[in-house]
Parts: sequence; structure tokens; C-alpha cells
Amino acid sequence: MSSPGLLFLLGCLSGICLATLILNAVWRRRQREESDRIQGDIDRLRGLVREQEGDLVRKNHQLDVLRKEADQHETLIAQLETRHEILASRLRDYQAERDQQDEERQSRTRLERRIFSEHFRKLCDEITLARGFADIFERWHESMNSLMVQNNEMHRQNERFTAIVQDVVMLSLNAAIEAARAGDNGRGFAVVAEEVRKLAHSSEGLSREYSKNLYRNDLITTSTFQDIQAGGKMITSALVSIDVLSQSLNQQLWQREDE
Amino acid sequence: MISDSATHSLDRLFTGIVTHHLEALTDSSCSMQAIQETAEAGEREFALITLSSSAFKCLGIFHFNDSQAARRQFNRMSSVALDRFGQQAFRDAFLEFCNMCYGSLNRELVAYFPHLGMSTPYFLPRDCLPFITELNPGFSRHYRIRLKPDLLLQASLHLCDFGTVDFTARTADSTEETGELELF
Repeated sequence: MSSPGLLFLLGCLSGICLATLILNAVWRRRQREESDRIQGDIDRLRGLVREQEGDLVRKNHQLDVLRKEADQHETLIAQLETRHEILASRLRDYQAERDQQDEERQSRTRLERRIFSEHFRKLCDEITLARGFADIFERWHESMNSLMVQNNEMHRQNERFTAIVQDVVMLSLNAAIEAARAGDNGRGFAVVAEEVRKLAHSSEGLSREYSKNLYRNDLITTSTFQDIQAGGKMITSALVSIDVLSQSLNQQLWQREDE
Repeated sequence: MISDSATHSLDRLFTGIVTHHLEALTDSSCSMQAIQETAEAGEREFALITLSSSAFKCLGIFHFNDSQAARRQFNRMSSVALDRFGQQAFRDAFLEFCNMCYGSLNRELVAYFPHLGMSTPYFLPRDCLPFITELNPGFSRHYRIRLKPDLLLQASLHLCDFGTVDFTARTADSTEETGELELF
């Protein structure tokens, strides 16, 4: 083999060896880099594991705290349930008591209402009866009219009596004149005529007084009757007001009862 | 006891009411003045009417002037023609006038005395008048009423008190028309 060829071969072999050495060096470097990267990952994972472990410890601690709190809550719930039972029992007792009171009150109200209704009915009856007083006033009016008719009749009788007395006075005067004419024989008759005249004058005075008394009686009777009549109307008016008020009161009470 | 305010108020109310009704019923001008004592003016009768309460009774006296002039005026209250306006119709019209006056007075006084009652009017002979003092009125007032052209009327108020009578009537003239004669 010629030397150029050998040289070429040696050159090639040297090149191959060099390339191999270079490649080997690159490969080793890459292996180291890979190993470093993996070691870094392992370290990071270990750090993570440590963090997780720490977190786990904290969470376990929190869990313990929560368990304790849950236990406390359960105790509290139990206490509250007991208290609720007591309160529910008291409420039942209170409701029962209240129901009983309501029943008693309703019973009392019914009784009072019955008593009130009875009294109200009596009041209405009394008002109705009292309003019938108008009939009595009418009777009084008729009685007064009769009384005034009677008074007028007495006035007329008195006027007739006065007229008779005046006639008697005239007669006594005539008798006195005739007695005077008769002289001594008529003296006794003159005395009688004079006495008759005196009696007639007394009767005339009595008649005047009687007439005055009749007029006085007319005025006082009429005034008294009018006072009674006006008072009667006043009472009737007051009774109407009482009737209206009692009806209104009754209506309000019944409305309240319905509500 | 009757207060001065009550007598002034009653005087003012009565004067206003009577004047108002006479002018409204007869369509004539009317004047009314207080006088010391009623004088004889041909009236043989008077109408008596009473307002009563627990504290007082108020007697109204309207002298019945039975004249042609009076009949002409009161005939205007009636739907009956004058030539057929007889004695009874005239008397009824006069009583209705008394009733209307006292009805108005009743409505005025009821504002101050809630429980009041009014009688029906009644004719009495004039000879009864001197005995009005026997009813012991605490206040009396007489009035002369002139209704144009030629009618003269007389009226009196007598207030008999049984307790304190004290009120002041409001000044507004508030008379109202009344209904027919109230029959008891």
C-alpha cells in the first residue's frame, strides 16, 4: 500500500477517533446535564414532599381543632335540644293555660252579653212604654180642655148670677120706694127691702171676687198645663235621644262581638 | 237667677223672631219696641204659649187684636180669600203665628238649654192677665208691634226661673221657617 493511501487511512482513522472522542465528550456532558436536571427534579420533589408533609401536619392539627369544635357543638346542640324541650313544654303549658283563659273569657263575655242583652231589652221596653206617655199627655190635654169648658160654664153661671143680683138690687130699690110711699105702714117693709139690698150688694161683691178667682184659675190652670205639656215633650225628646244612643251602642257592641 | 246677658239675649231673640215672622208672613214692614206696660187696645183675649226646661219656663203672651186691619194682615198667611176668612180661620192663623214664633225661639234656645219643650198656644180672656204675677216671673217685658200700614199688636214675655238662667245668644239672626201648627 502506498504511503499516500496509508496516510489517508491514518488520517481517516485519526479523524474517526477524534470524532468519537468528541462525541463521547458531548454525550458525557449531556449525561451529566441530564443527571443534574434529574437530581434537581428529585430535590424539588423532595421539597414538595416536605411541604406536603408540613401541610398535612397543619391540616391534621386543624382537623383535631375542628373535631374538638364539633364535639363542643354537639354538646351545645344537646343542651339546646334539652332547653328546647323545656321551652316547648312550657309553651304547651302556656297555650293550654291561655286556651283555658280564652274559654273562660268567652264564657264570661257570653254571660255578660246575655245579661247586657236582657238589660238592653228591658231598657228598650221601658223606652217604648215611656214613649207612650204621649197618650197620657193627650189625656191631660183633653182633661184641661174639659176643665176650661167647665170654667167657661162657671163664668156664664156667674154672669147670670150677677145679672140676678143686679135685678134683686133693682127690686130692693123699688121695694124701698114703695115702702116709703106706704108711710108708717110700710116701715117694716122698708127695713126688709134695705136688708135685701145689702144682701144683694154683698152677693154682687162675692160674684166679682168669684169671677176674679175664675180668671185666676183659668190662667194658672192653662199655664200649669202648658208647663206639663212642654215638659212632656222635653221628656219625649230626651227619650228619643236615649233610644237612638242605646240602639247605636247596641249596634257597636254587636259589631265588636262579630269582629 | 236670671243674668243680664240672658234677659238681653232673650229680648233680642224674641224681637228678631217676631219681626222676622210678621214681615215674612204679611209682607209688610214691622217695628217692635219695648214698653213699660201693655195698654188696652181693644184686645179681649190673648194667646198664651210656654217654653219649658228644668231651669225655667218662658211664657209668651200675644194679644189677639180682633180688628179688620189684623184680619187683613193675618189673612195673608192663609190661602182662604178675605171674604171667607172667618173668625175661626183668623184665630187659627193667629195661633199658628204664635206657634211659629215660639218654634223659632225654641230652636234658638236649644243651643244653650239642650232639653226644652214647647206647649201648644191657647186663648185666654184678657181678665186673666193681672194674675200673671202669681206665677212669680223673674223677668217680664212688654212690646208694642207696629205693622204697616195700620196694625198695632202687643206681646209680652215672662220668664219664670227655677235655677240659674245664664246664656248669651249669638248675634247672627238665624230664624227659620216652621211647619204647620203643632197639634198636641
